[in-house]
Amino acid sequence: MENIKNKVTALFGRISPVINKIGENKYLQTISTTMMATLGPVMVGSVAVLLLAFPIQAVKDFLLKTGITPILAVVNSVTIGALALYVTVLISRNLVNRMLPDEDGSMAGALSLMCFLIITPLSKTADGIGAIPTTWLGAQGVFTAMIVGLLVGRIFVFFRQNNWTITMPDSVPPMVTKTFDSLLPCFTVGFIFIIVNRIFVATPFGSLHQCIYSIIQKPIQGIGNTLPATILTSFLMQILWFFGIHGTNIVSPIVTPFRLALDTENMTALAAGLPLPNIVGNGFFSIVCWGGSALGLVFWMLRSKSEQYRQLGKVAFIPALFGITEPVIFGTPLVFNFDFFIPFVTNNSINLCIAYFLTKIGIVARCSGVQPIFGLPLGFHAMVGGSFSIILLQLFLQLIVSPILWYPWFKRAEKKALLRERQEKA
Amino acid sequence: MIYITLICAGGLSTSIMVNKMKDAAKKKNIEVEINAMASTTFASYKKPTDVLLLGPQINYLYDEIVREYGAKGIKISVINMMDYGMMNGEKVLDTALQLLDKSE
Repeated sequence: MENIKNKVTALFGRISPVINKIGENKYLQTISTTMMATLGPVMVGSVAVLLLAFPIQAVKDFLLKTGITPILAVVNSVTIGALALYVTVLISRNLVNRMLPDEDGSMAGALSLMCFLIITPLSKTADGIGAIPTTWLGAQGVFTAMIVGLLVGRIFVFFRQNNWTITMPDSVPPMVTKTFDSLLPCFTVGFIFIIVNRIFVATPFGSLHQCIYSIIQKPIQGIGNTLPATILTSFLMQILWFFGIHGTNIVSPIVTPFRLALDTENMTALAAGLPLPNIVGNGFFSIVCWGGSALGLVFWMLRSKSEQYRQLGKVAFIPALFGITEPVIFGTPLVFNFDFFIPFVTNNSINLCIAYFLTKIGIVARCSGVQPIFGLPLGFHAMVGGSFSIILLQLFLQLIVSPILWYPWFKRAEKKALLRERQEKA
Repeated sequence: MIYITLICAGGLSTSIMVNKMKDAAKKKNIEVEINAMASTTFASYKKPTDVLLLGPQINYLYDEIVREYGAKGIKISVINMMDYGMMNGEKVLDTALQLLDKSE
């Protein structure tokens, strides 16, 4: 056992620089901040979706009679249905902002929107009015929006870092110089995307959107929607947590875009009154893996015979009810503690299996795709799932399954703690 | 006035620590302003910071943070895991103050 511990610790020493690299990665950090920043419109749209699909018929009838239903549908189309637009602006802005602290990035954001629209195929309505089809503005365009945003932002930064600007004589007012500073990157980026668009229009895909969607987004989304992939991500997150690293923070930027697209598909279906296509999504994952399933351990600690654990239980209980489990993670500690390695790393995965199975056979409803708000208390956190069965699922997993899964490991560790406490007293 | 800023992933668990530290400071009659936030929002944080404390769960950002803010005279440290877990505000406050003492 000692041998294994040393090996694992040594292994961690070797992989830790890699984890630092991922955690510090500017692009991943940018994706992460962007996803957080889209929360505003996503929240507004989510409320609209939840009202459109309200589980009580009387409420639905009322909304229909008062003419609110069509308004809600519009709100949904311009928020969740246009997610890609928000993403493309913000991601470019955030990347520039992160790489060049003196630059506010709004110019790059506007450029990114321009490029996104350049590659988005236009069409006409039946009356011959020019229109932008919403096909690529929502879930299907999210990944392209990210790529365009990152590319445009990066090119913008490249121009700035190399000082590729049109040099103005000193006598020209600074405001004018500033405008000219941006001209070169603007035209270059615009030119690149016009050409790229032309090239893709000529391919069988017909557009860059279709190409990225078919080749990258759809396959990865398909994998992301499966149970094994979901378990794998939870496993990775928990292993990182075992090493004391915020695993969720490291893994999220990589998987969130795809999960958010899955969620968006669900919300769109829900707003249209269609059956929900996906089981897995961001919402599903965070409702099931709420607080790292550590609440059960806190319960046992509250009633422990060990002084140390009881003390920690008191400190950790209230935060844990809100899904904040850092106290129990660092106080037990669960970090680098091989006594709790197995439950700490696998409990979420077991919960995911149970939840997936119950959803698959239809006992629990599929999650609406609305994003849960981190920091809401147990049960309330799951309300955005859009069904009472999902709230019950969270309560069941956290109040019944989690304590059972922790129990044997806790008892073993408690024995050790008691022995230690007795020796300290003697 | 001493300014202490705590950062973690979302600024939630550090905000609990902030309250405990404030209690400890009040008991000791030390004039401090303590705030918590997400690591990503710190870059645009306008108030001064003398000591910047990282939650242990984001210690992977330590190098980057030191590179960015170390030169600006901010004392930077990662909170001890056990103190963080037990939400020992008194001890974390002491550590923060010690960091300042050492520099003077």
